[in-house]
Amino acid sequence: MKKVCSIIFTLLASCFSLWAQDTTDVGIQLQLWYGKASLQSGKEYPYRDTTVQINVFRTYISAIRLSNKGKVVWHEPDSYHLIDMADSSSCYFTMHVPSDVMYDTIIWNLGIDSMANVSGAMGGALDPTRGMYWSWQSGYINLKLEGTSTMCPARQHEFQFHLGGYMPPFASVQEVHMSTRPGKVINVSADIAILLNSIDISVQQSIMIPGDDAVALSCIAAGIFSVR
Amino acid sequence: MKYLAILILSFIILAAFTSNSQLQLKRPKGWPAPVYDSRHNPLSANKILLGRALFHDPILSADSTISCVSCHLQYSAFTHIDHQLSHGIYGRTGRRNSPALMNLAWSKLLMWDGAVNHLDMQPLAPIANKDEMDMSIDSVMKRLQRSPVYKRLFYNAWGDSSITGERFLKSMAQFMLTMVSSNSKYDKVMRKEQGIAFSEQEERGLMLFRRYCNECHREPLFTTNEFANNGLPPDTTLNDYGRVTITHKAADSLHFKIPTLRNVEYSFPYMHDGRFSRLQQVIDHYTSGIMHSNTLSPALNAPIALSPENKVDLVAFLLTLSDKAFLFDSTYSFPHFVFTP
Repeated sequence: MKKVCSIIFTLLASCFSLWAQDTTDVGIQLQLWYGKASLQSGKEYPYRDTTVQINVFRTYISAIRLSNKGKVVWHEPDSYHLIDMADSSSCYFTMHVPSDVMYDTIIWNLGIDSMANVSGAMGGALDPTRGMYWSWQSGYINLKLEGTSTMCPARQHEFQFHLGGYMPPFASVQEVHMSTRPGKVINVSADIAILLNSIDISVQQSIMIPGDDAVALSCIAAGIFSVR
Repeated sequence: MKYLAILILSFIILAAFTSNSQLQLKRPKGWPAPVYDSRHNPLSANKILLGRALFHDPILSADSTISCVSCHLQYSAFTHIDHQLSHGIYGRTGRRNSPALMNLAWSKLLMWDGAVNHLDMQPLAPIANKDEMDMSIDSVMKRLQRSPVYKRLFYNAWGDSSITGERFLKSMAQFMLTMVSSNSKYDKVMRKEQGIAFSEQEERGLMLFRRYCNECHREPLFTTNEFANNGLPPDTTLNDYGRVTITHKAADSLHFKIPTLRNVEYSFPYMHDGRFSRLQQVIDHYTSGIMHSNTLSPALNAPIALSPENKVDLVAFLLTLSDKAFLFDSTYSFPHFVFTP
């Protein structure tokens, strides 16, 4: 009996110690911008000599890690977040970071790593019903940018950029590094104008498949983030 | 005290077996290890049943007329017989011949061009394809969420009635994983089952098979599950160049998935575009129809010379790959009992 009691006690004690590990909630607040204006659906923004409206901006942020002096000191487990301009709650999430971790940089992947791309059905942010999975060819869409501009010669002036692809040489997942300081909230800005101004939509109105174009635009997309 | 501990322990073991009732992926003797890792999707009878109901249910198509079974009939080894190109809703015709489905746990890439990289993800393609089911996957979820039958089936399978894409896909994969064909005459001969032997003609066919076909249609799966150009001149009405559209590598031009030859007697028509309706035509293609190109499978570089007698012998062997137990296994059939209250 004594033995059984002691086993139960040890089990309970180890559960408590796990539960009580000292962590701090660190929030990530993403703010979406078009240049100096906040990004809103249906609003007109200047684009070259004309205007543009953004209807869809969705992207995956994954594998968030914190590093200090060039060395990764913490990484978020199961780190997959779907950011959607249509859902402001998706632009804020918290991470449970050990309180004693010091860091000067936050790093994440823009998009989904190749391992998750070949591992079958997954849930949560990665559920294929979230509109970020291709059906005709396996693979996640890392970033969706859709809108209209009078400059765009396509049907109903619509442009659609679906960036994805996990197989070399067209792997489009990108690493994003941003300097930061430990704090309660890390405010990150994403400026969609940087992405859109890199494309001439009178020439290119859509990217829907993995390839050179998707990789090139993904590289630019990685540069739209900055810590405020 | 000791007896109490034993009692508790045996109760735990019993509970684990009855409530969880985890099943193992079938792996016939002598077969390689399956590619599908069922640790991420442990099999259970209720999940398989849910997948089976979904596989037979036209609820997955836009106008509720087409189910998976429409193009993957069990009696023809889960393919669409008599149609070169399979058709979907509103009589729309697709671009390819629906493949026969079996032994999918051993297949790394699916579809004729390998566009799908995991069995879990396979249903997404025909559901979304305009010429097949033409449904968005979230509309499918909404339909299922409104259905009392599926609420019950998801509850039984997953422990609560929440219907998600992940659960939907994993359940369908589980049902497809159960489609294992390993009881043909060939298998029985290989297992040295009593009273079963090849005829002399079948034996001669096996020798020819091993000499000319086994390189790509490798035993015991009768496919390497790789991709190859088998020398078919492209159909100019389709201009289908196969795997190259996925990989963008010129070396993959005209490469298509090597299909299994199991149940080939029942899975006509043959080839990715269903151009041949009889096995004899297929064999004639390999002896006299090869189109040489720089992506042709090296196995077909040297001409294959077969006499008319050889061809008949080869077909006789191929017929030993028919597995009636598989084709008529009632555990794959329409589960009417789940739809009737």
